[in-house]
Amino acid sequence: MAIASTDFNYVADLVRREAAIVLEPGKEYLVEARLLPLAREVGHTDIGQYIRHAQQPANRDQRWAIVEALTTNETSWFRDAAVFEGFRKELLPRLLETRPAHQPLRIWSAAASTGQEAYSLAMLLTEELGISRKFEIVGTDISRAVLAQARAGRYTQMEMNRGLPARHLVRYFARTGTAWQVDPQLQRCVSFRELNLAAPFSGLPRFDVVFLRNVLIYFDLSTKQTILRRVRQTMASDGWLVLGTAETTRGIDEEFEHTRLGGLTAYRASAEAPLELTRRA
Amino acid sequence: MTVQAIVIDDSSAMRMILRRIVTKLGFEVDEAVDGRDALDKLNAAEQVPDVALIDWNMPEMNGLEFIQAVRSDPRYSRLTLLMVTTESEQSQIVRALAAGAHEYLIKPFTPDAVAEKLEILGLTAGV
Amino acid sequence: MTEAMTAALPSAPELAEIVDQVWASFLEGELIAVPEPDLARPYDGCLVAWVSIAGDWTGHLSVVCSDAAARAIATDMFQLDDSEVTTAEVADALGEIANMVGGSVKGMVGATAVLSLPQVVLDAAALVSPEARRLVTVQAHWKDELLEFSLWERQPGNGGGK
Repeated sequence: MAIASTDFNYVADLVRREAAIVLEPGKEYLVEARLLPLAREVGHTDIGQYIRHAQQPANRDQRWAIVEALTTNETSWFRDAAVFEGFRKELLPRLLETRPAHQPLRIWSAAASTGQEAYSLAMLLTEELGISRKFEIVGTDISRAVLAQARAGRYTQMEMNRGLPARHLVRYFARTGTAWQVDPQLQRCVSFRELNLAAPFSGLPRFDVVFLRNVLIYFDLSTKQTILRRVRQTMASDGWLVLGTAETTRGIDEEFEHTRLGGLTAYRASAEAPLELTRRA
Repeated sequence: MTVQAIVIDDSSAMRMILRRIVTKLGFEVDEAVDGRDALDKLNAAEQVPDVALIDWNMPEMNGLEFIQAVRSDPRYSRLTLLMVTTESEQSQIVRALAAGAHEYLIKPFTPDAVAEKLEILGLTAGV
Repeated sequence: MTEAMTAALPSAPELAEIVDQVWASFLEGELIAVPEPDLARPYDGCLVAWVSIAGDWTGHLSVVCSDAAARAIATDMFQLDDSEVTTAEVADALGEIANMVGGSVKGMVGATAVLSLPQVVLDAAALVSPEARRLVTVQAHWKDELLEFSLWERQPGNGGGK
Protein backbone atom coordinates (compact mmCIF):
# COMPACT_ATOMS: atom_id res chain seq x y z
CA MET A 1 0.00 0.00 0.00
CA ALA A 2 1.69 3.22 -1.11
CA ILE A 3 2.02 5.99 1.43
CA ALA A 4 -0.05 9.10 0.76
CA SER A 5 1.97 12.26 0.14
CA THR A 6 0.35 14.08 3.07
CA ASP A 7 1.42 11.21 5.35
CA PHE A 8 4.90 11.17 3.88
CA ASN A 9 5.21 14.93 4.36
CA TYR A 10 4.11 14.60 7.98
CA VAL A 11 6.81 11.99 8.63
CA ALA A 12 9.45 14.02 6.76
CA ASP A 13 8.60 17.11 8.83
CA LEU A 14 8.68 15.13 12.04
CA VAL A 15 12.11 13.56 11.50
CA ARG A 16 13.55 16.84 10.26
CA ARG A 17 12.37 18.66 13.37
CA GLU A 18 13.35 15.95 15.83
CA ALA A 19 16.50 14.49 14.35
CA ALA A 20 17.64 16.85 11.58
CA ILE A 21 17.14 14.02 9.10
CA VAL A 22 16.15 15.07 5.60
CA LEU A 23 13.74 12.76 3.77
CA GLU A 24 13.34 13.83 0.18
CA PRO A 25 10.41 12.66 -1.93
CA GLY A 26 11.62 9.39 -3.40
CA LYS A 27 12.24 7.86 -0.01
CA GLU A 28 8.64 6.71 0.40
CA TYR A 29 9.72 3.10 0.12
CA LEU A 30 12.07 3.56 3.08
CA VAL A 31 9.33 5.07 5.22
CA GLU A 32 6.94 2.25 4.31
CA ALA A 33 9.50 -0.46 5.03
CA ARG A 34 10.53 1.02 8.40
CA LEU A 35 7.05 1.94 9.66
CA LEU A 36 5.17 -1.24 8.79
CA PRO A 37 6.67 -3.22 11.71
CA LEU A 38 5.76 -0.38 14.09
CA ALA A 39 2.23 -0.29 12.70
CA ARG A 40 1.83 -4.03 13.18
CA GLU A 41 3.07 -3.75 16.75
CA VAL A 42 0.03 -1.58 17.57
CA GLY A 43 -2.40 -3.56 15.49
CA HIS A 44 -2.53 -1.52 12.30
CA THR A 45 -1.94 -2.94 8.82
CA ASP A 46 -2.28 0.34 7.01
CA ILE A 47 0.51 2.92 7.11
CA GLY A 48 -1.95 5.82 6.81
CA GLN A 49 -3.97 4.57 9.79
CA TYR A 50 -0.82 4.13 11.81
CA ILE A 51 0.39 7.64 11.04
CA ARG A 52 -2.98 9.08 12.08
CA HIS A 53 -2.67 7.05 15.28
CA ALA A 54 0.79 8.52 15.86
CA GLN A 55 -0.51 12.05 15.26
CA GLN A 56 -2.85 11.90 18.24
CA PRO A 57 -1.47 14.10 21.03
CA ALA A 58 -1.42 11.22 23.52
CA ASN A 59 0.77 9.03 21.30
CA ARG A 60 4.08 10.77 21.71
CA ASP A 61 5.86 7.45 22.09
CA GLN A 62 4.76 6.45 18.59
CA ARG A 63 6.12 9.68 17.17
CA TRP A 64 9.41 8.86 18.89
CA ALA A 65 9.27 5.35 17.48
CA ILE A 66 8.92 6.78 13.99
CA VAL A 67 11.95 9.02 14.46
CA GLU A 68 14.05 6.15 15.82
CA ALA A 69 12.98 3.82 13.03
CA LEU A 70 14.33 6.24 10.44
CA THR A 71 17.66 6.74 12.19
CA THR A 72 20.33 4.22 11.24
CA ASN A 73 21.48 1.90 13.96
CA GLU A 74 25.01 0.57 14.11
CA THR A 75 24.88 -2.13 16.78
CA SER A 76 26.84 -5.39 16.46
CA TRP A 77 26.27 -8.79 17.94
CA PHE A 78 28.78 -9.93 20.57
CA ARG A 79 30.25 -6.45 20.60
CA ASP A 80 33.78 -6.55 22.07
CA ALA A 81 34.42 -10.25 21.68
CA ALA A 82 36.91 -10.26 24.59
CA VAL A 83 34.11 -9.26 26.96
CA PHE A 84 31.94 -12.18 25.92
CA GLU A 85 34.90 -14.54 25.99
CA GLY A 86 35.84 -13.38 29.50
CA PHE A 87 32.23 -13.76 30.56
CA ARG A 88 32.07 -17.27 29.17
CA LYS A 89 35.40 -18.58 30.38
CA GLU A 90 35.94 -16.77 33.67
CA LEU A 91 32.88 -15.04 35.07
CA LEU A 92 30.22 -17.62 34.31
CA PRO A 93 32.01 -20.59 35.93
CA ARG A 94 32.55 -18.51 39.09
CA LEU A 95 28.86 -17.66 39.16
CA LEU A 96 27.76 -21.23 38.62
CA GLU A 97 29.89 -22.38 41.55
CA THR A 98 28.08 -20.11 43.96
CA ARG A 99 24.50 -20.37 42.75
CA PRO A 100 22.20 -23.30 43.62
CA ALA A 101 21.42 -25.35 40.53
CA HIS A 102 17.68 -24.65 40.63
CA GLN A 103 18.12 -20.89 40.77
CA PRO A 104 17.94 -19.17 37.38
CA LEU A 105 20.81 -16.83 36.54
CA ARG A 106 19.55 -13.29 36.12
CA ILE A 107 21.29 -10.88 33.79
CA TRP A 108 20.44 -7.28 33.04
CA SER A 109 21.30 -5.68 29.72
CA ALA A 110 20.87 -2.10 30.87
CA ALA A 111 21.25 -0.24 27.57
CA ALA A 112 19.56 -2.86 25.46
CA SER A 113 18.83 -0.74 22.38
CA THR A 114 17.65 -3.03 19.55
CA GLY A 115 18.46 -6.14 21.58
CA GLN A 116 21.70 -7.49 20.12
CA GLU A 117 23.50 -7.58 23.49
CA ALA A 118 20.63 -9.30 25.26
CA TYR A 119 20.17 -11.93 22.55
CA SER A 120 23.95 -12.44 22.26
CA LEU A 121 24.05 -13.21 25.99
CA ALA A 122 21.07 -15.54 25.54
CA MET A 123 22.84 -17.45 22.76
CA LEU A 124 26.00 -17.71 24.83
CA LEU A 125 24.14 -18.95 27.89
CA THR A 126 22.09 -21.44 25.89
CA GLU A 127 25.31 -22.94 24.58
CA GLU A 128 27.15 -22.93 27.89
CA LEU A 129 24.37 -24.01 30.22
CA GLY A 130 22.41 -26.55 28.23
CA ILE A 131 19.05 -27.53 29.68
CA SER A 132 20.31 -28.14 33.18
CA ARG A 133 20.30 -24.52 34.26
CA LYS A 134 17.90 -21.73 33.54
CA PHE A 135 18.54 -18.09 32.94
CA GLU A 136 16.57 -14.89 32.51
CA ILE A 137 17.74 -11.82 30.70
CA VAL A 138 16.06 -8.46 31.13
CA GLY A 139 16.84 -5.81 28.53
CA THR A 140 15.94 -2.21 29.28
CA ASP A 141 16.22 1.03 27.38
CA ILE A 142 14.67 4.47 27.59
CA SER A 143 13.53 4.33 23.96
CA ARG A 144 10.33 2.46 23.12
CA ALA A 145 11.19 2.39 19.45
CA VAL A 146 14.37 0.37 19.84
CA LEU A 147 12.63 -1.88 22.35
CA ALA A 148 9.92 -2.57 19.79
CA GLN A 149 12.54 -3.98 17.45
CA ALA A 150 14.25 -5.83 20.31
CA ARG A 151 10.97 -7.46 21.30
CA ALA A 152 10.15 -8.34 17.71
CA GLY A 153 13.61 -9.88 17.35
CA ARG A 154 13.61 -9.03 13.66
CA TYR A 155 16.81 -7.87 11.96
CA THR A 156 17.82 -6.85 8.45
CA GLN A 157 20.48 -8.64 6.45
CA MET A 158 22.90 -5.78 7.14
CA GLU A 159 22.33 -6.03 10.90
CA MET A 160 22.83 -9.80 10.76
CA ASN A 161 26.26 -9.36 9.15
CA ARG A 162 27.56 -7.41 12.13
CA GLY A 163 29.62 -9.73 14.30
CA LEU A 164 27.23 -12.68 14.47
CA PRO A 165 28.99 -16.06 14.20
CA ALA A 166 27.44 -18.12 11.40
CA ARG A 167 26.77 -21.10 13.65
CA HIS A 168 24.54 -18.89 15.83
CA LEU A 169 22.77 -17.52 12.79
CA VAL A 170 21.72 -20.96 11.62
CA ARG A 171 20.80 -22.17 15.08
CA TYR A 172 18.89 -19.20 16.46
CA PHE A 173 17.40 -17.37 13.48
CA ALA A 174 15.03 -17.99 10.60
CA ARG A 175 14.62 -15.97 7.42
CA THR A 176 11.45 -14.02 7.00
CA GLY A 177 11.11 -12.05 3.76
CA THR A 178 14.18 -9.84 3.42
CA ALA A 179 14.89 -10.07 7.16
CA TRP A 180 15.76 -12.58 9.91
CA GLN A 181 13.80 -13.52 13.01
CA VAL A 182 15.08 -14.68 16.41
CA ASP A 183 13.91 -18.16 17.34
CA PRO A 184 10.88 -17.93 19.68
CA GLN A 185 12.53 -20.41 22.08
CA LEU A 186 15.38 -17.97 22.58
CA GLN A 187 12.99 -15.05 22.90
CA ARG A 188 11.32 -16.80 25.81
CA CYS A 189 14.45 -16.32 27.91
CA VAL A 190 14.66 -12.60 27.22
CA SER A 191 12.23 -9.83 28.17
CA PHE A 192 12.42 -6.14 27.39
CA ARG A 193 11.03 -3.18 29.25
CA GLU A 194 11.22 0.55 29.21
CA LEU A 195 13.40 2.08 31.90
CA ASN A 196 15.03 5.44 32.44
CA LEU A 197 18.35 4.92 34.22
CA ALA A 198 18.32 8.50 35.47
CA ALA A 199 15.07 7.95 37.38
CA PRO A 200 14.41 5.57 40.29
CA PHE A 201 13.97 1.97 39.13
CA SER A 202 11.38 -0.41 40.44
CA GLY A 203 10.11 -3.87 39.72
CA LEU A 204 13.51 -5.32 38.84
CA PRO A 205 14.65 -8.69 40.15
CA ARG A 206 17.96 -9.22 41.94
CA PHE A 207 20.63 -9.56 39.22
CA ASP A 208 23.71 -11.75 39.16
CA VAL A 209 25.33 -9.75 36.35
CA VAL A 210 24.59 -6.28 35.03
CA PHE A 211 25.83 -5.13 31.62
CA LEU A 212 25.89 -1.35 31.63
CA ARG A 213 28.04 -0.74 28.59
CA ASN A 214 28.73 2.57 26.90
CA VAL A 215 25.77 4.39 28.39
CA LEU A 216 27.16 6.16 31.47
CA ILE A 217 29.03 8.48 29.12
CA TYR A 218 25.73 10.21 28.35
CA PHE A 219 25.31 11.41 31.94
CA ASP A 220 26.99 13.98 34.15
CA LEU A 221 29.05 12.89 37.15
CA SER A 222 26.36 13.20 39.77
CA THR A 223 23.87 11.25 37.66
CA LYS A 224 26.52 8.59 36.96
CA GLN A 225 26.94 8.23 40.72
CA THR A 226 23.22 7.94 41.30
CA ILE A 227 22.90 5.36 38.55
CA LEU A 228 25.77 3.22 39.85
CA ARG A 229 24.35 3.35 43.36
CA ARG A 230 20.92 2.27 42.14
CA VAL A 231 22.45 -0.44 39.97
CA ARG A 232 24.42 -1.76 42.93
CA GLN A 233 21.16 -2.02 44.86
CA THR A 234 19.67 -4.27 42.20
CA MET A 235 22.66 -6.59 42.26
CA ALA A 236 23.18 -9.66 44.39
CA SER A 237 25.79 -8.87 47.03
CA ASP A 238 28.38 -10.86 45.08
CA GLY A 239 26.97 -9.86 41.70
CA TRP A 240 29.04 -8.47 38.86
CA LEU A 241 28.92 -5.25 36.86
CA VAL A 242 30.33 -4.99 33.34
CA LEU A 243 30.98 -1.58 31.77
CA GLY A 244 32.20 -0.53 28.32
CA THR A 245 35.85 -1.34 27.62
CA ALA A 246 36.91 2.30 27.96
CA GLU A 247 34.86 2.93 31.09
CA THR A 248 35.60 2.60 34.81
CA THR A 249 33.87 3.17 38.13
CA ARG A 250 37.02 4.77 39.48
CA GLY A 251 36.45 8.40 40.30
CA ILE A 252 32.70 7.81 40.28
CA ASP A 253 31.88 5.13 42.79
CA GLU A 254 34.49 3.80 45.20
CA GLU A 255 32.15 1.07 46.47
CA PHE A 256 33.02 -1.03 43.44
CA GLU A 257 36.20 -3.05 43.10
CA HIS A 258 37.47 -4.17 39.76
CA THR A 259 38.74 -7.62 38.84
CA ARG A 260 40.36 -8.71 35.59
CA LEU A 261 38.85 -11.91 34.25
CA GLY A 262 40.73 -12.75 31.08
CA GLY A 263 39.92 -9.99 28.59
CA LEU A 264 37.06 -8.76 30.75
CA THR A 265 37.20 -6.17 33.54
CA ALA A 266 34.25 -6.66 35.89
CA TYR A 267 33.22 -4.86 39.06
CA ARG A 268 31.82 -6.11 42.33
CA ALA A 269 30.62 -4.32 45.42
CA SER A 270 33.67 -4.12 47.65
CA ALA A 271 33.63 -6.01 50.94
CA GLU A 272 33.65 -2.68 52.78
CA ALA A 273 30.54 -1.38 51.02
CA PRO A 274 27.68 -0.87 53.47
CA LEU A 275 25.01 -3.56 53.23
CA GLU A 276 22.09 -2.13 51.31
CA LEU A 277 18.79 -3.20 52.77
CA THR A 278 16.41 -3.17 49.84
CA ARG A 279 13.12 -4.78 49.05
CA ARG A 280 13.30 -8.13 47.33
CA ALA A 281 11.64 -7.78 43.96
CA MET B 1 54.52 -11.32 9.83
CA THR B 2 51.69 -9.94 7.68
CA VAL B 3 48.50 -11.92 7.46
CA GLN B 4 48.02 -13.44 4.00
CA ALA B 5 44.59 -13.58 2.42
CA ILE B 6 43.36 -15.01 -0.85
CA VAL B 7 40.14 -13.78 -2.46
CA ILE B 8 38.42 -16.40 -4.62
CA ASP B 9 35.58 -15.09 -6.78
CA ASP B 10 34.77 -15.29 -10.49
CA SER B 11 33.57 -11.68 -10.44
CA SER B 12 36.44 -9.28 -10.98
CA ALA B 13 34.28 -6.56 -9.43
CA MET B 14 33.94 -8.52 -6.19
CA ARG B 15 37.64 -9.39 -6.17
CA MET B 16 38.47 -5.70 -6.49
CA ILE B 17 36.08 -4.72 -3.72
CA LEU B 18 37.32 -7.36 -1.29
CA ARG B 19 40.97 -6.69 -2.15
CA ARG B 20 40.49 -3.06 -1.26
CA ILE B 21 38.72 -3.80 2.02
CA VAL B 22 41.14 -6.49 3.17
CA THR B 23 44.23 -4.51 2.16
CA LYS B 24 42.97 -1.59 4.23
CA LEU B 25 42.80 -3.94 7.19
CA GLY B 26 46.53 -4.53 6.80
CA PHE B 27 46.52 -7.91 5.07
CA GLU B 28 48.41 -8.99 1.94
CA VAL B 29 45.98 -10.13 -0.73
CA ASP B 30 46.21 -12.64 -3.56
CA GLU B 31 43.37 -13.51 -5.96
CA ALA B 32 41.95 -16.53 -7.75
CA VAL B 33 39.10 -16.71 -10.26
CA ASP B 34 37.58 -19.98 -9.09
CA GLY B 35 38.19 -23.01 -6.91
CA ARG B 36 40.44 -24.74 -9.43
CA ASP B 37 42.60 -21.64 -9.86
CA ALA B 38 42.79 -21.25 -6.08
CA LEU B 39 43.88 -24.88 -5.55
CA ASP B 40 46.58 -24.48 -8.20
CA LYS B 41 47.82 -21.37 -6.39
CA LEU B 42 47.82 -23.16 -3.02
CA ASN B 43 49.76 -26.07 -4.47
CA ALA B 44 52.34 -23.76 -5.96
CA ALA B 45 52.67 -21.47 -2.95
CA GLU B 46 55.64 -21.58 -0.64
CA GLN B 47 53.43 -20.74 2.26
CA VAL B 48 49.76 -21.49 2.80
CA PRO B 49 47.77 -18.26 3.28
CA ASP B 50 46.06 -17.57 6.59
CA VAL B 51 42.57 -16.97 5.25
CA ALA B 52 40.57 -17.55 2.08
CA LEU B 53 37.50 -15.46 1.22
CA ILE B 54 35.47 -17.70 -1.03
CA ASP B 55 32.51 -17.10 -3.29
CA TRP B 56 30.07 -19.99 -3.74
CA ASN B 57 28.98 -19.99 -7.38
CA MET B 58 32.01 -20.20 -9.66
CA PRO B 59 32.75 -22.20 -12.82
CA GLU B 60 35.30 -25.08 -12.86
CA MET B 61 35.13 -25.63 -9.11
CA ASN B 62 32.65 -23.84 -6.89
CA GLY B 63 33.25 -22.58 -3.37
CA LEU B 64 31.72 -25.57 -1.64
CA GLU B 65 33.85 -27.98 -3.65
CA PHE B 66 36.94 -25.91 -2.91
CA ILE B 67 36.21 -26.02 0.81
CA GLN B 68 35.73 -29.78 0.68
CA ALA B 69 39.00 -30.21 -1.20
CA VAL B 70 40.93 -28.04 1.25
CA ARG B 71 39.47 -29.63 4.37
CA SER B 72 40.40 -33.09 3.20
CA ASP B 73 44.02 -32.07 2.61
CA PRO B 74 46.26 -31.95 5.70
CA ARG B 75 48.63 -29.55 3.96
CA TYR B 76 45.99 -26.84 4.24
CA SER B 77 44.80 -27.45 7.78
CA ARG B 78 45.85 -23.96 8.92
CA LEU B 79 43.86 -22.20 6.18
CA THR B 80 40.85 -20.39 7.63
CA LEU B 81 37.81 -20.48 5.34
CA LEU B 82 35.40 -17.53 5.13
CA MET B 83 32.60 -17.93 2.64
CA VAL B 84 31.40 -14.64 1.08
CA THR B 85 28.33 -15.16 -1.07
CA THR B 86 24.85 -14.12 -2.08
CA GLU B 87 23.53 -17.53 -0.98
CA SER B 88 21.46 -16.64 2.06
CA GLU B 89 19.16 -19.57 2.70
CA GLN B 90 19.60 -21.27 6.03
CA SER B 91 20.12 -24.67 4.40
CA GLN B 92 22.96 -23.30 2.27
CA ILE B 93 24.72 -21.80 5.27
CA VAL B 94 24.37 -25.10 7.11
CA ARG B 95 25.83 -26.94 4.11
CA ALA B 96 28.80 -24.60 3.96
CA LEU B 97 29.54 -24.91 7.67
CA ALA B 98 29.13 -28.69 7.51
CA ALA B 99 31.57 -28.85 4.58
CA GLY B 100 34.12 -27.05 6.73
CA ALA B 101 33.69 -23.30 6.24
CA HIS B 102 34.72 -21.54 9.43
CA GLU B 103 32.56 -18.46 8.88
CA TYR B 104 30.03 -17.05 6.44
CA LEU B 105 29.29 -13.56 5.18
CA ILE B 106 26.24 -12.72 3.07
CA LYS B 107 26.46 -10.18 0.23
CA PRO B 108 25.98 -7.25 0.25
CA PHE B 109 28.29 -6.40 3.13
CA THR B 110 29.98 -3.30 4.48
CA PRO B 111 33.73 -3.09 5.17
CA ASP B 112 32.91 -3.15 8.92
CA ALA B 113 31.10 -6.45 8.50
CA VAL B 114 34.18 -7.98 6.85
CA ALA B 115 36.43 -6.66 9.62
CA GLU B 116 34.14 -8.12 12.28
CA LYS B 117 34.03 -11.53 10.62
CA LEU B 118 37.81 -11.62 10.42
CA GLU B 119 37.94 -10.69 14.11
CA ILE B 120 35.60 -13.55 14.97
CA LEU B 121 38.09 -15.78 13.17
CA GLY B 122 40.90 -14.38 15.29
CA LEU B 123 42.56 -12.73 12.32
CA THR B 124 43.83 -9.22 12.74
CA ALA B 125 46.71 -7.60 10.89
CA GLY B 126 50.14 -8.12 12.32
CA VAL B 127 49.19 -11.26 14.24
CA MET C 1 13.27 -27.24 9.51
CA THR C 2 12.06 -27.50 5.94
CA GLU C 3 12.14 -24.49 3.72
CA ALA C 4 9.77 -25.83 1.10
CA MET C 5 7.31 -23.04 0.64
CA THR C 6 5.62 -21.14 -2.14
CA ALA C 7 7.73 -18.34 -3.55
CA ALA C 8 7.55 -15.18 -1.48
CA LEU C 9 8.34 -12.57 -4.11
CA PRO C 10 9.49 -9.12 -3.08
CA SER C 11 7.07 -6.21 -3.30
CA ALA C 12 8.26 -2.91 -4.79
CA PRO C 13 9.22 -1.47 -1.35
CA GLU C 14 11.09 -4.68 -0.53
CA LEU C 15 12.94 -4.64 -3.85
CA ALA C 16 13.77 -0.99 -3.21
CA GLU C 17 15.11 -1.86 0.23
CA ILE C 18 17.29 -4.62 -1.25
CA VAL C 19 18.71 -2.16 -3.80
CA ASP C 20 19.22 0.38 -1.02
CA GLN C 21 21.29 -2.12 0.99
CA VAL C 22 23.50 -2.93 -2.00
CA TRP C 23 24.01 0.77 -2.61
CA ALA C 24 24.75 1.54 1.04
CA SER C 25 27.35 -1.24 1.14
CA PHE C 26 29.33 -0.51 -1.98
CA LEU C 27 28.52 2.87 -3.45
CA GLU C 28 28.32 6.48 -2.42
CA GLY C 29 25.38 8.79 -2.86
CA GLU C 30 21.69 8.63 -2.23
CA LEU C 31 19.14 6.64 -4.17
CA ILE C 32 15.89 8.54 -4.62
CA ALA C 33 13.07 6.23 -5.67
CA VAL C 34 10.60 7.37 -8.34
CA PRO C 35 7.06 7.00 -6.97
CA GLU C 36 5.39 6.07 -10.28
CA PRO C 37 7.92 4.21 -12.46
CA ASP C 38 7.46 4.84 -16.17
CA LEU C 39 7.37 1.33 -17.56
CA ALA C 40 7.32 2.53 -21.17
CA ARG C 41 10.48 4.60 -20.99
CA PRO C 42 12.82 3.93 -23.90
CA TYR C 43 16.05 2.04 -23.34
CA ASP C 44 18.09 3.83 -26.01
CA GLY C 45 21.65 4.41 -24.88
CA CYS C 46 21.13 2.09 -21.94
CA LEU C 47 22.90 -1.02 -20.74
CA VAL C 48 21.13 -3.94 -19.10
CA ALA C 49 22.52 -6.53 -16.72
CA TRP C 50 20.51 -9.46 -15.44
CA VAL C 51 20.67 -12.69 -13.53
CA SER C 52 18.24 -15.55 -13.97
CA ILE C 53 16.62 -17.34 -11.09
CA ALA C 54 15.49 -20.92 -11.67
CA GLY C 55 13.83 -23.28 -9.25
CA ASP C 56 10.48 -23.27 -7.52
CA TRP C 57 10.07 -19.97 -9.27
CA THR C 58 11.62 -18.97 -12.57
CA GLY C 59 12.37 -15.47 -13.74
CA HIS C 60 15.08 -12.87 -13.88
CA LEU C 61 16.18 -9.67 -12.22
CA SER C 62 17.35 -6.91 -14.54
CA VAL C 63 19.16 -3.64 -14.01
CA VAL C 64 18.89 -0.98 -16.72
CA CYS C 65 20.72 2.32 -16.79
CA SER C 66 22.43 4.72 -19.16
CA ASP C 67 26.01 4.25 -20.24
CA ALA C 68 26.94 7.28 -18.11
CA ALA C 69 25.29 5.77 -15.03
CA ALA C 70 27.03 2.44 -15.58
CA ARG C 71 30.37 4.22 -15.85
CA ALA C 72 29.59 6.11 -12.62
CA ILE C 73 28.81 2.82 -10.89
CA ALA C 74 32.09 1.33 -12.07
CA THR C 75 34.22 4.35 -11.13
CA ASP C 76 32.59 4.47 -7.71
CA MET C 77 32.77 0.74 -7.05
CA PHE C 78 36.41 0.45 -8.15
CA GLN C 79 37.46 3.93 -7.08
CA LEU C 80 38.86 4.80 -10.50
CA ASP C 81 39.03 7.94 -12.57
CA ASP C 82 36.29 8.19 -15.16
CA SER C 83 38.97 8.29 -17.86
CA GLU C 84 40.45 4.96 -16.70
CA VAL C 85 37.30 2.87 -16.82
CA THR C 86 37.12 0.20 -19.53
CA THR C 87 33.99 -1.34 -21.06
CA ALA C 88 34.88 -4.61 -19.38
CA GLU C 89 34.96 -2.95 -15.99
CA VAL C 90 31.64 -1.24 -16.64
CA ALA C 91 30.10 -4.59 -17.54
CA ASP C 92 31.66 -6.22 -14.46
CA ALA C 93 30.32 -3.55 -12.14
CA LEU C 94 26.79 -3.63 -13.51
CA GLY C 95 26.83 -7.43 -13.57
CA GLU C 96 27.85 -7.47 -9.92
CA ILE C 97 24.98 -5.14 -9.01
CA ALA C 98 22.57 -7.50 -10.78
CA ASN C 99 24.20 -10.44 -9.02
CA MET C 100 23.81 -8.94 -5.56
CA VAL C 101 20.28 -7.66 -6.01
CA GLY C 102 19.29 -10.90 -7.73
CA GLY C 103 20.97 -12.89 -4.99
CA SER C 104 18.90 -11.23 -2.31
CA VAL C 105 15.74 -11.80 -4.33
CA LYS C 106 16.70 -15.45 -4.79
CA GLY C 107 17.10 -15.72 -1.02
CA MET C 108 13.45 -14.81 -0.64
CA VAL C 109 12.29 -17.10 -3.38
CA GLY C 110 13.40 -20.42 -1.99
CA ALA C 111 16.10 -22.86 -1.10
CA THR C 112 16.12 -24.79 -4.34
CA ALA C 113 16.50 -21.81 -6.66
CA VAL C 114 19.68 -21.35 -8.63
CA LEU C 115 21.12 -18.02 -9.72
CA SER C 116 22.77 -17.77 -13.12
CA LEU C 117 25.97 -15.90 -13.83
CA PRO C 118 25.22 -12.28 -14.67
CA GLN C 119 24.85 -11.25 -18.31
CA VAL C 120 25.38 -7.73 -19.54
CA VAL C 121 24.15 -6.32 -22.84
CA LEU C 122 25.55 -3.01 -23.98
CA ASP C 123 22.48 -2.01 -25.94
CA ALA C 124 19.36 -2.49 -23.87
CA ALA C 125 17.10 -1.11 -26.59
CA ALA C 126 17.76 -4.25 -28.65
CA LEU C 127 16.82 -6.61 -25.80
CA VAL C 128 13.60 -8.58 -25.86
CA SER C 129 12.50 -10.99 -23.12
CA PRO C 130 10.20 -13.53 -24.75
CA GLU C 131 7.79 -15.38 -22.50
CA ALA C 132 8.44 -13.15 -19.55
CA ARG C 133 6.23 -10.67 -17.81
CA ARG C 134 7.28 -7.80 -15.61
CA LEU C 135 6.21 -8.23 -11.97
CA VAL C 136 7.85 -5.45 -10.01
CA THR C 137 9.80 -2.38 -11.10
CA VAL C 138 11.73 0.11 -9.04
CA GLN C 139 13.16 3.24 -10.66
CA ALA C 140 15.48 5.49 -8.72
CA HIS C 141 17.62 8.55 -9.32
CA TRP C 142 21.28 8.36 -8.43
CA LYS C 143 23.73 11.14 -9.25
CA ASP C 144 21.25 12.64 -11.72
CA GLU C 145 20.90 9.34 -13.54
CA LEU C 146 17.87 7.06 -13.69
CA LEU C 147 18.31 3.42 -12.66
CA GLU C 148 15.72 0.72 -13.17
CA PHE C 149 15.44 -2.63 -11.38
CA SER C 150 12.82 -5.09 -12.54
CA LEU C 151 11.74 -8.53 -11.50
CA TRP C 152 10.42 -10.61 -14.40
CA GLU C 153 8.54 -13.86 -14.18
CA ARG C 154 8.74 -16.60 -16.77
CA GLN C 155 5.42 -16.87 -18.48
CA PRO C 156 5.34 -19.49 -21.22
CA GLY C 157 3.12 -18.44 -24.10
CA ASN C 158 3.42 -14.71 -23.37
CA GLY C 159 4.46 -12.44 -26.25
CA GLY C 160 7.91 -10.78 -26.17
CA GLY C 161 8.10 -8.31 -23.28
CA LYS C 162 10.31 -5.26 -22.81
